Amino acid sequence: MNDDTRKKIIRTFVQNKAALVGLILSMIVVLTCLAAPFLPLPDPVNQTLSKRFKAPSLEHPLGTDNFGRDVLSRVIWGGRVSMVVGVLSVLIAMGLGTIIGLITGYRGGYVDNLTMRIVDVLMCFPTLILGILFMAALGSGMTSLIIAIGISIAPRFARLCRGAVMTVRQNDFVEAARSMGMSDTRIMFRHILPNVLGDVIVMGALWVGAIIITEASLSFIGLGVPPPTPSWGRMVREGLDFMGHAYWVSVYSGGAIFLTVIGFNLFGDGLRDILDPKLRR
Amino acid sequence: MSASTITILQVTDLTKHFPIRKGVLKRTVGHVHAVNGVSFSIRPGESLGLVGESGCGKTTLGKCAVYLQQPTAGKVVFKGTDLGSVPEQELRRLRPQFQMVFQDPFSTLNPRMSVEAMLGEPLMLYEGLKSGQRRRRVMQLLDTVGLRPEHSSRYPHEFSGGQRQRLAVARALALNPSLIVCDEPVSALDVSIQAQILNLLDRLKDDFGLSYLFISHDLGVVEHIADRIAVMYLGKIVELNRESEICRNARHPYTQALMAAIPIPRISAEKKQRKLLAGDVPSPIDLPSGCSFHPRCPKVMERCRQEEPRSLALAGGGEVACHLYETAAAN
Repeated sequence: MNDDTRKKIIRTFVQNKAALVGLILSMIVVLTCLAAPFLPLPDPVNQTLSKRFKAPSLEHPLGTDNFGRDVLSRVIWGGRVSMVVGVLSVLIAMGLGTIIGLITGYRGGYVDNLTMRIVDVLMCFPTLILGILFMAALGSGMTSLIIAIGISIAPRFARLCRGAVMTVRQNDFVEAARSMGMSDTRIMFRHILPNVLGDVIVMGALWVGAIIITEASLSFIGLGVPPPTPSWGRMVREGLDFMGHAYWVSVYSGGAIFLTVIGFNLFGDGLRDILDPKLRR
Repeated sequence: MSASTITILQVTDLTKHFPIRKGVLKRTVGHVHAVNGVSFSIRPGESLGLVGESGCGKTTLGKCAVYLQQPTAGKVVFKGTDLGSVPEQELRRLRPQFQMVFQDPFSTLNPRMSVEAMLGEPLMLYEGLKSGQRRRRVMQLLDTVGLRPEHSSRYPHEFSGGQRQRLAVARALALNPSLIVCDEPVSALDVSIQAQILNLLDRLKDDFGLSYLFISHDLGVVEHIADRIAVMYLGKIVELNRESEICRNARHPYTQALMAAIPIPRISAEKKQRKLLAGDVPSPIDLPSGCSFHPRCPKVMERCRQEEPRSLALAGGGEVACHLYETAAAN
């Protein structure tokens, strides 16, 4: 990449207000979560039953939950779990799905038919059910949670990527690369992949939010991250039970999910624009 | 062929049929007969023009000739090597020597690759050039095809159709090929740009000692660049001869009709009755019996409906596949 291209990339990004906002939002969320151990926060799991359901105050800016735990502290610590699960699962799904999609879309024929029928079957099940299935096979814990969710949504990425690859494959530049004697691997990864990556990234950004919720559902039935470790999804879920008199438990954790999802989506959109030379200015 | 001393490309009885599959079981219900037993050869430094209506199998023939598509039958021999008999690895090693320039200037370049990345890639892969040398070679190539050095950091969408075709030619040239198959390289361009690209191709041919298989539906274009012209109809070559012979002394009724269809920029000539073909090209799925051209031929005889004409050698090196000339050739 030369200086000219780099300058254009930076310019595109700075001019794209939405992407910039997305980047700033995601950075705020990510950095705050990373900095959790260094912030002057009360222990997120320490229960003080005398202080249950305290409304937001100076001492507890976002109030306390049903066990008297500080909601702000739990939102920030919980973000670490949700973020890691959300981002890593999406990366796993993107990686797996993209490779499967590239191979099936490029090869076609039997490989494609067989793989896509398997993908069809997997996509029939809701993500949650698949997640439960894989969790049961892998055992509980955060690593297996991430892998389970990653595998569960990989078929969606595979399907998307395959379609995009089939369109790109029609282009003469693929034939030209073949006529120069380049290997299929090289054609797939160097020539086709950059043309489909934009779509995959946008979809990835969308799925981070969905996964944070999925993790909550899995936690709810005891397959997610075990309590009392806080996670956004579970906080929303738990807070729903006392929404009427202590709205802050659900609302602030839900707000954190909202900001993160918005941030990632805007950033994802901007990233797609950067990857497309046509949209660079 | 009589003068087959040294050939760079020798195509013998090349056939390509595409199966038509229908239903859940994907049963083969028929075939599209895209190319039916075509033979020709190209000598070093020669450009062979290939003309025909759209859908007559020109592009398929071009792709089979460089083995981008596997022929159903027949042989393609490049510089003494039968491309069909060598293993995949070996074929890939040979590929840089025969390149292709495609028709559509908008899909021929990877939109995500800068010019430098695109032209540099094969140089890195096959010639192992370091980035400094690569840069120099890329600049050289750009200069060769009439583009400026500052174009190297640009992306395909920043170029016009003509410039894109120049880039496609530069890419084909990058690996010093000896044969380039040009598949309608100017059909998508404006007439004024067409001439520029044709002149460029003409000049490169002499500078680099290239051979071309030049495919076009436009006789005027092919006339300009080809030494010999092959006329294709429904997957077969009906006439093959030197450019001058085809233009002035067309033998096959189809070639005659094609020549008659070229507009002549003279008022007096316009008044002459032009014989234009009636009807449409028959479907390549169910080929006509006998000579494929007989349903449209103005000189059709009873024999044409039953018997497929063989390719007859003409005095002077050409060949024609028509019953009209059988007696002439025998004499």
